Amino acid sequence: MFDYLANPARFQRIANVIRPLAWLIFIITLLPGLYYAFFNSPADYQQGETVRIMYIHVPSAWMALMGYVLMALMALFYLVWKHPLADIAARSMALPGAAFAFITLVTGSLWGAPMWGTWWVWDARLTSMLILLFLYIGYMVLVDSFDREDRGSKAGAVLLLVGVINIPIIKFSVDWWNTLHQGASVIRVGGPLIDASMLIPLLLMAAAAKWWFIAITLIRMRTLMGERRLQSRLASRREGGAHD
Amino acid sequence: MQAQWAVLKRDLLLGWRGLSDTIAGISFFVMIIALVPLAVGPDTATLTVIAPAILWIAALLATLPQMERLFARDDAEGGLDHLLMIPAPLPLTVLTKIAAAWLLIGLPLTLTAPLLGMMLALPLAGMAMVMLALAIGTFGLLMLGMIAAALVLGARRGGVLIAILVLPLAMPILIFGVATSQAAMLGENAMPPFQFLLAVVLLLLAITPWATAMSLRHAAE
Repeated sequence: MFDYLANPARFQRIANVIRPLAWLIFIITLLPGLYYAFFNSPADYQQGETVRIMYIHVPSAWMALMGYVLMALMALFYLVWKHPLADIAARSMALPGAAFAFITLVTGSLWGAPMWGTWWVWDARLTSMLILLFLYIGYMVLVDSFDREDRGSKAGAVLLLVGVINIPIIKFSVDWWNTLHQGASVIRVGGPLIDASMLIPLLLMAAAAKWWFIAITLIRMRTLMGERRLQSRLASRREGGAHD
Repeated sequence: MQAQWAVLKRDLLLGWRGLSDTIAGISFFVMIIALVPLAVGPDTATLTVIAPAILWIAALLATLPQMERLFARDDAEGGLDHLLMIPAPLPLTVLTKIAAAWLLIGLPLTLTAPLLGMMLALPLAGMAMVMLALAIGTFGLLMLGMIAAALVLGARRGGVLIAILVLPLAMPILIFGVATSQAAMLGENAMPPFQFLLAVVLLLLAITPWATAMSLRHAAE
């Protein structure tokens, strides 16, 4: 399948179909998701109305983690099969992934202010999300630091693989260090703890976040591919000019 | 094996000839520690509480500037190509270079630590454990530094970039290192965090030589 998708022109044709579809699914899941989240779901008996922040916060956190794992997967494809498309995909996912990590931190902080009585606590999950944001920033700065683009891509790919191996360890060490966060309540042994009235908007919003991520990544990939084609055209024209 | 010995000897000799780098590193370490009482106040009770954390943060900051030079000189002088041509597995050569770097900065830091501990009013009883943890922790930090140094070869910016890459990955070492030191200072059982520290460093040992070797090859292409 990867060989099949690795042809940039063919990939572009498929992406052209998926992109509008992704926007459509995004809208279809977002609108009812927002409706349920804000108007048609119960307020929490302890947290009150602030529980609605969760419908943005939790999908963002999921996407921030998933984004990094996907980037690492792309890095693996890039290093093993050396296909530039995987590198373009990893680069394209970095900014939306970092944005999700940032949104997670901001919404968490907004929720923490009334609930924990402070904007920021050095809680384990908050801290690991902050470190994840640092990892995203490190990758973005690294790939942009080279004059030779492929050097940046390869360095970035190695960093992603090292990072993804380290994430569970960072997570564990930070958990060990301190935690007062909510335990997991959706994906756990024995089924979700969360009531269906809250689970439905949460899943809708999660789907919306996912399809937004896909749409944005595809747009950014198209831009990056166009940029590279432009660069190589300009380079060959310059060489051609030298012969005149 | 002979080649590894030669690499180790060369790096140590270069380190010895340019001893000012190590001296600068240790001085930096001492100065960070000296800044803390000036900023926090000379109250010994407060200093004792934060001392293990300060020692580790200072050790982390003092190794960071050393990381940039790990491969930069080899790259500038062409020694890197020779490293790649050594008829031995490249990860092994990388490991030898980490060992040399540790002897040049990690070991001196570890040996200075008790002195600084006394300045921060730390009880001497747990000092042996703190030194052991620092010795192992700095080895782990230098392994992370090796990857970062190899990744940024040929980049437009060096020092800050290495710091951005290394610091997030260094969190587990910092957490377990400080926890080990604190437990040792209070006379508690320091084994659980120490074993976690060992585990983290062993895992890095299993990853970093290969990741570093891979990016060195990319840099030399």
